[in-house]
Amino acid sequence: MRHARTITFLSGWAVCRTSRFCGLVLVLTFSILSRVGAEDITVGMSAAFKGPSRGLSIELYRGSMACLEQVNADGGVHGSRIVIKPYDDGYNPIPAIDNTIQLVEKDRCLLLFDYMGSPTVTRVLPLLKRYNDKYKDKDKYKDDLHPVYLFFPFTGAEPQRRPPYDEFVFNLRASYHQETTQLVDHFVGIGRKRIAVFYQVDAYGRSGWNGARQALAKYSNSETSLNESVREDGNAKGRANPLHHKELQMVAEASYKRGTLFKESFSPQVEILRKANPDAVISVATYSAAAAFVRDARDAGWDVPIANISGVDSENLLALLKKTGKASGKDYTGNLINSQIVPSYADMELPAAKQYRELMDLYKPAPPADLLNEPYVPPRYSFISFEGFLNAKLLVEILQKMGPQPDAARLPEVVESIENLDLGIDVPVSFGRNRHQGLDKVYFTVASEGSFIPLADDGWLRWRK
Amino acid sequence: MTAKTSQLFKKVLCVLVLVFAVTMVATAIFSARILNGNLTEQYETKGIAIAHGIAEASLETLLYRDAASVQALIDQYLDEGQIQGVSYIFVADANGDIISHTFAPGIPEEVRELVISDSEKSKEQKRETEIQYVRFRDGGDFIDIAAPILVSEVGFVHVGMDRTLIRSAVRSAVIQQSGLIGAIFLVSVVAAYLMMNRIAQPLQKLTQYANEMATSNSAARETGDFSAQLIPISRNSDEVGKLAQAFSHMVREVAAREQNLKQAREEVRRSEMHFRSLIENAFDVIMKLDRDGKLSYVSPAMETVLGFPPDQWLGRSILEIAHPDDQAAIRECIDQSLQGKRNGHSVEFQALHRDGSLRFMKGLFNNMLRDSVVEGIVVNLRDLTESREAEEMRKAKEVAEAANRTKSEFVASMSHELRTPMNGIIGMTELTLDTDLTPEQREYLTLVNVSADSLLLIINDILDFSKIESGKLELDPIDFDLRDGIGDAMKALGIRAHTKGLELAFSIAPDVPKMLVGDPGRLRQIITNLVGNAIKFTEHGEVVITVSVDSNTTENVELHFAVTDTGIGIPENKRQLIFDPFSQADSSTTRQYGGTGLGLTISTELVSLMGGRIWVESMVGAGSTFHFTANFGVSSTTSRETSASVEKLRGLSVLAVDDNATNRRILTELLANWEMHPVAVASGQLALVELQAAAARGKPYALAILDVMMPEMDGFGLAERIRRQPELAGIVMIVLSSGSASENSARCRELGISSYLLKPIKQSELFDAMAVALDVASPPNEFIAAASTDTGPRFDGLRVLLAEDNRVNQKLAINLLSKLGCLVTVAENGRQTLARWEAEEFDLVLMDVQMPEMDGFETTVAIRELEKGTDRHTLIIAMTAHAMKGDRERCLAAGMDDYLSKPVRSQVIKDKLANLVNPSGSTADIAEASVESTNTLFDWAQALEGCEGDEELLQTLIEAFLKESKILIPQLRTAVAKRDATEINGVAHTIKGALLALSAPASAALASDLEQLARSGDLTGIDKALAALEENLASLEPVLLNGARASQ
Repeated sequence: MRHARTITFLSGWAVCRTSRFCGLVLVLTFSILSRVGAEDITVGMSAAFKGPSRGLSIELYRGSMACLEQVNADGGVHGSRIVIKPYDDGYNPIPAIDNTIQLVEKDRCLLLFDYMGSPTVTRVLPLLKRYNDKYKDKDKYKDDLHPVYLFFPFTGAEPQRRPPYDEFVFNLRASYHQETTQLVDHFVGIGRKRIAVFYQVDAYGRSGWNGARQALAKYSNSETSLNESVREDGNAKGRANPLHHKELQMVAEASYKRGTLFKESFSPQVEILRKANPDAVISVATYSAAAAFVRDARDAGWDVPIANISGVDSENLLALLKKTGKASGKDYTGNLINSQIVPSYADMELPAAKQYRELMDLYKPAPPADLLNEPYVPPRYSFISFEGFLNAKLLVEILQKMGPQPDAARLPEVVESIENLDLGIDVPVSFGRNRHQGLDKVYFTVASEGSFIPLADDGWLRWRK
Repeated sequence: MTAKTSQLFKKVLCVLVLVFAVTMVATAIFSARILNGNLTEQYETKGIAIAHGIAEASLETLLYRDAASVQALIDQYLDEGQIQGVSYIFVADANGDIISHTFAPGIPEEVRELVISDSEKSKEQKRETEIQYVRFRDGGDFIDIAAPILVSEVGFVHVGMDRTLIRSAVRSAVIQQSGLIGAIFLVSVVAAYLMMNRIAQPLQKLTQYANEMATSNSAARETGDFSAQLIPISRNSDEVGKLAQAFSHMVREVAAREQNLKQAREEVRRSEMHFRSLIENAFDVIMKLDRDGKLSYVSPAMETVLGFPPDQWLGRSILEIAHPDDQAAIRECIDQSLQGKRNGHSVEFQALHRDGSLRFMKGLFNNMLRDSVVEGIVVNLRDLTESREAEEMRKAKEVAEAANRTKSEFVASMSHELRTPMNGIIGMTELTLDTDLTPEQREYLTLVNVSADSLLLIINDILDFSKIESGKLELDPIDFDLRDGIGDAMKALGIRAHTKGLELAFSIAPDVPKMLVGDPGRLRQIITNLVGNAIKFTEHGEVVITVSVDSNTTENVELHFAVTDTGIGIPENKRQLIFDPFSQADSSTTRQYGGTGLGLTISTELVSLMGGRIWVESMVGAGSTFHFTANFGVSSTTSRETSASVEKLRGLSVLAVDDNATNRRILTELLANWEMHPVAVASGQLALVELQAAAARGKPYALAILDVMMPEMDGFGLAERIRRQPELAGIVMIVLSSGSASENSARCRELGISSYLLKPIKQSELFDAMAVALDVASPPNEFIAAASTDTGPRFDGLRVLLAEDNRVNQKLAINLLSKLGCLVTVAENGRQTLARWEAEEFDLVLMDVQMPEMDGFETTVAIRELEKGTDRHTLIIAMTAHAMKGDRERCLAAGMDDYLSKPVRSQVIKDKLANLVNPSGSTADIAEASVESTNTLFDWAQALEGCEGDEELLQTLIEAFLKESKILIPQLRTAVAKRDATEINGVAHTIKGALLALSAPASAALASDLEQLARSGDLTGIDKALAALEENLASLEPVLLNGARASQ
């Protein structure tokens, strides 16, 4: 698709250079540009609308749309409607790259918005760098260039939070690193030092893994149990890491390939981790794999606390487990902790949550029908859609702040000027020249009676060891 | 395919299997090794490249210790379809911690060992990229490439390339390759099979064929049946094809050679047989002598010639064959032949036959030359014995034949010598009978006359027979009227038949042509002979002659004559005998009936000369029928019956009355032939009834033909009865009788009978009689033409010079001629004759052929010589006793006009004179006799006949005459006035000639009167004659003109 468009584009130029209709084509191009500026503000979205992770993307999209529908219904931002142009990448990097090129070059979106997934975003980053590098040297190109900024991707991965890519990416949510670090902190705090990690073997999983690893490293391993566990874990490891004998380490790790389906068996991973007898398992996975892991662990009679992070899509996870439990008559939702990067939408005291729920109920945003290949029954509310809602809310604030002539080049300036912005979640959002992440707060929830409910600090004590 | 071919194929198949098996194994091993090496190398290279790439790219990231970025980096190499063969990648940091990897569900132990081994490397080792093969317990065989990051200060990148992919690639490549080779193998097998087939099959066929050819009998080869279709020719131009072609060529060559050889052998054999058969079947004995004179070959003729088996003589000397007296001659012959000087020595000698007889032999000796050396002698031995005998017999025969000829000539001359005295006897007897004699004398003389006639008949028969014997009997063909000819013959015979009380009738079929070309005299002789015999051997009943056509063309006709009698018949055993000379059916018959017995023999000969045959059918006691056939030409001469007369007779109703059925039939046919309506009845009573009935019907008969001799009511009686009936008054009657006319003529006149005809009647006679009776033609002067033996043409004043040396004959001729009114001058010999002729003028010379001093021929030649240059032509008639064929020719050749055969009979001479002197009135000089017999003013038909039917000529003649007469009549008047006899004679003669030519006989007679008067010198009454002529011509002129007009 992308290739075809590129070729058309290039061949259009080729025709221009050689044809007397060159002028006509230029006129058309200008008219499109003026239309974008004058009327709709288009933001590009590449996410997984198909495949096992599509729930994440769809919920993200629905949340954003709930906000934007309201804004647009109220006359838009400076008279311009905000339109999301969604493309499906199936949670795979290459289509994500193709979609990005399409959105930037063909659709000429003002900015990229609501990208979903670490492996995809991580791979899109170098492309963004190239666009912006090119923009920096824009004098060399005759092309109508503008910088490309990615706003609020749904990923807690590290690369876009670190040089050299943090420059073009603005995050709202806290990172997986922060999530896993705080999970480790809480587990260690209640005496569960033997932490194992179950993760998706890609950038997403590695981000969580790395967070957990580094967080563990902060603690000294003075306890014999750890040493024993190390010993039990195997001589090789003991020999391999003589220097780290004083630091805590994850007692086991198990991985799975991205795209592994729920119906497949995760018993090998369960066996690997269970062998190390961990106190807790931190799961850095998407909901299908996470649910499958929980299922196989619980089926194996292993009720170790399993903590998932925000990227799992807790509502879909819970739905799968409930469905599975319904089928087998077993409760899979016990001992499930889930870290979130947004507050609970159930907290009606938060104005944003209230607004979110009102708008979700009001608009009941539909997923982009042309991208779906199978029917989708959306949950009424979800953390993901709430995140999408907040993303859109912040985006509207930024565009509002930018004024009637939106210009991509002025985006960093406008965003970085935001300080202590109240989005109605009780936590102020601030950006700065070196701060391209609006929130650092991590919320914990626990599955209880069919839904995740906020987990207070004292709530952890129930797993104290 | 047979055993031989399949063996060949099996061998090839074995080789193919072996070759392909070895090839397959070798290529599999080789390819596997190569591919394995290549892929391994490729994987290693790839792995190294990836490892280095990651090492470079991950350096910065690792320094930030961002494992997720590293993970993103290595992920891209494992993304689906990115780089084939990359199985895992992991990055270990300097601490040996694996900070990123692609393993799931966990990191294998071996990987940890690898990381440990990295840390145990020496400093130099750590700087280098290491390649090692790793096998995981949980499965997997990999090429592990370990690349250091920042000379291993930061860590290591490990890339695992999947060796199983290499293996499977190699395996599948080998399998595919093997499959390909297998397919090629199958194709090769098929191709080989086909090729084998192509090669082996023709080869095998050739072999089979060669075997067949070798074993087949030579007959098959000789017949040349080795045709191309049997030879397995390959159309290909490859070696097999060429071989096949060469083979087939060879076979054809062999066959052709065998054929040629066979032909050559056959030719040699045939030639040998040819010559052998020539030699062996030769009448002569053919022998071969070697140089010593010994016989090396004797032909089978030896057996027939000398009676010895040929083999008996092989190796013996030829001399032994010969009579001892002749051996020397033979020896000399052999010597000469051996010397080779001359070829074809012949010697005659006597040889001893096995039966002891001596044979006359002639030996012909020829040497066989080869390279000028005489190798042998071919002897041709001929038996001359028989030819010698034959020669002697031939000589004897010649002598006998000569004697026979002499005899025939003697007979001929004897008959001549006999005729001369017979002439005298008969002639003098006839003359004497004309004188006044006593009844006794007359009776005796009559007997003499009859006897002489019989004798003459016998002499004639003998003469004819002698002519037959000497082969001199020949025919003298002329145009003649068959019906008249037969009718004439019947007249004479009729008298004889009627004398015996027999009915004689003849019938000629209507399709028999009227005018024929043939010898009427000889035909008449045959008929006379047969009919004479029939009369002779028949006591009661009838003799009927029928003539019919056997076959007919426009130019020739074969007539069938049958003479049927009711006589004694001829027994079967005699039927052939009677045709032999000197024989009759019974020697007793000879005594009873007389005759020479030569008649049938002569007739047989004559019939055969006429191209026919003669045979007899007979029943003893019931009668005989003699048949003969004869060929004649068909004459183109026109019929005498004029169309005008026929026209007048046509359609008339005629009643024929005759008690004889045959005669009734003949009459009916004749009359119907002329398109009349004949009705025939058998008796007078029936005739009367029919006549009255016809009259009552209103269709009375115009004509009645009555037979005189009928039972109950004879012809005259019938005529009387008819005349008494007034209703039958108009009928014209003709009577037919066998009796003499003179006694009945008076009665005829009394009864008003128009004609009286003698049986048997001639057609022409009957026709003429009817025509005259019905007044449709010029009525004849005489009442009965046929019966007037004592009346006839007279030749008054005809000047005849008689050249005859014989006194008796002189007297006879003088008497005969004088009686006819001729003026006869006699000359004793040729010289006298010539002198007389020169001195006087004669109308006719009767020239005896045989005269002393100067014979008739010489004299005639001399006369004709003298006549040359003048318009004078004296008629010369030869008189000869030769009566042989050729006499006539000799006479005519000498310049004579006709000839008479001695003895000269008065009737014969009368006929001759009439013919010669007045043929159709064209000879005016001697026409006196005929002139007075006519009183017709002008006969158109006759005139036209004179012009041979040419009306235009006649017209011209008439015009010329009328013109001429205008000059001639005044001339004649002048001459009469002058009393110039000579002038009168000349002019009258000219007028007479013209009138005769115009067929105006009455006028011509008047002119002739004038001529006579002038010639006599007595001119009294000349004026009266002139007046008569002038009056006549005056009345003739309009008639001529009318005739001319009428014809136009």
